[in-house]
Amino acid sequence: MAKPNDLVQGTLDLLILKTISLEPKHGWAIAKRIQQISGEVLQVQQGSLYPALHRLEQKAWIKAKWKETETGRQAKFYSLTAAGRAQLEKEAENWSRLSAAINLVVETT
Amino acid sequence: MLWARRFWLKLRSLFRHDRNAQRLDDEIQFHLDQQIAENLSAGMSREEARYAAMRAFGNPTFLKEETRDTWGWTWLEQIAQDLRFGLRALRRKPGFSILVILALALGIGVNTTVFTALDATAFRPLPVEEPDLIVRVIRWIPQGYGGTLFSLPEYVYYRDHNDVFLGLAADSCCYNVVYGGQPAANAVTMHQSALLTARLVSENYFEVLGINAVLGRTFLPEEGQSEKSNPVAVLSYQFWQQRVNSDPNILGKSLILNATHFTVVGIAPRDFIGSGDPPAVPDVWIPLAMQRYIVPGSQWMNNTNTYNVRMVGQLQPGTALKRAQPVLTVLAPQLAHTPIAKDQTASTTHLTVKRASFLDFGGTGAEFAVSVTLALAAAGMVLLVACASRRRGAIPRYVVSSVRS
Repeated sequence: MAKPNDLVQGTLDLLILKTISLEPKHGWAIAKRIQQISGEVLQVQQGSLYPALHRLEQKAWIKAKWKETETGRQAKFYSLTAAGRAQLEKEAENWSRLSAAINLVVETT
Repeated sequence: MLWARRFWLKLRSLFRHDRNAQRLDDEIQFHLDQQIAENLSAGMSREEARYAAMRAFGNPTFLKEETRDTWGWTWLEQIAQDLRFGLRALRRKPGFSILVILALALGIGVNTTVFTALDATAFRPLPVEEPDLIVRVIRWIPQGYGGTLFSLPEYVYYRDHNDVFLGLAADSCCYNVVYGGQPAANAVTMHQSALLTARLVSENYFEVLGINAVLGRTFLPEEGQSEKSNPVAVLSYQFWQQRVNSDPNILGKSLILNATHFTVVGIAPRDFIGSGDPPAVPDVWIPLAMQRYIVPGSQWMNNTNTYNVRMVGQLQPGTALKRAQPVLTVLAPQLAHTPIAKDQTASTTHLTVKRASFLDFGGTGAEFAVSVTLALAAAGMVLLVACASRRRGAIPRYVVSSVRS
């Protein structure tokens, strides 16, 4: 099973961008979502999301807003900026190319 | 505009650092609480739920620090932290601290002085009207570099046969002359009688360099013509100011050097410290025609194998260094085949020109270069020692961090 350290930094960025591309989410929800969608294969160490989130925020690819959750508590919700959406497209494309290439190598040899 | 937004974010995080740190705590606390709540609803005990949430999260202290690092001002905080630590260390060991501070002060001071001195002299172009047009002439012989000293007949030949220079002047190094003599009504009176330094220059020297006298005049063409007939002197501004109290009536007065009367005809500008190599402002400039009285016992005028003058030329405006080169390359072999050619002159393969600066290697300039190099090396060593003692005083940062956290 992939541990967080095995995740390449760029890959975590891609996962985050993709996860919040549909609707704003707070950190915990992002972690949960990644685990869920990947069928529990990607066990992101939850805390390691935060340096990544703040780095993406500083790059202005995502923006954050404090909002109330359904339980009435304040939480920091992250959403994509226009630049972030463009970055997501770029990284997703890179990833497709890379994984296709790796597949090709693995299946042919 | 992404960079502007990024810059704004960074700037904001600088001023809201404490608040952001608080909010990061809140954010992470919220995360842990969510996870604990989920674990509880999955049937764990309170203790188990908390423990599992912490395990899934990782080390909060470390992760918070890593997150704060992304805000981009960590280097600033680290400097501040190093400063605070440094100050504490200094207070603890005042004796050692004073030593370190003295070593650093000395190191920095010596370096600053050396570089300032160098910058003011060696690296600066000559203090003349158009420094870009002033070049020094260098001799090349079959063995390579032939120095910058020429015989007087060589100088005269090059002066009269080239068409690349607006003017070609000659200057000698510095000669000590004895001041003194009979007190006369019109003699220059100085507070101390002493040895003065004189430089012998061609009569067109000031003209070629574009220097005008601040008082009186520089040399006239006829003052370079024959020996003995022109005992005149131009004083340096510093000499005039310091040794004769800026005497306003000095022009026409007599200065007795090596028992010969020289008439003071002018004062050079304050900034003009000569074209010296090494840079040293002389007390007086004397026409080369008077050489026998300044350097008794030798005769330069028609002597083809005493090499005592350097040549400084003013290029015609618009003449690149490159264009001056071929002309001098042709002239040197021509001169080598004339009867006046002996020794160095005969074996000169070509001449080159380089933009005149004070750091010219060759002749006395070589000594100057050596002393400059030594001074720089010494200054460097002092700074090195200063830095080394500073290092010994410092405890690596990670030790401090681990104590702190």
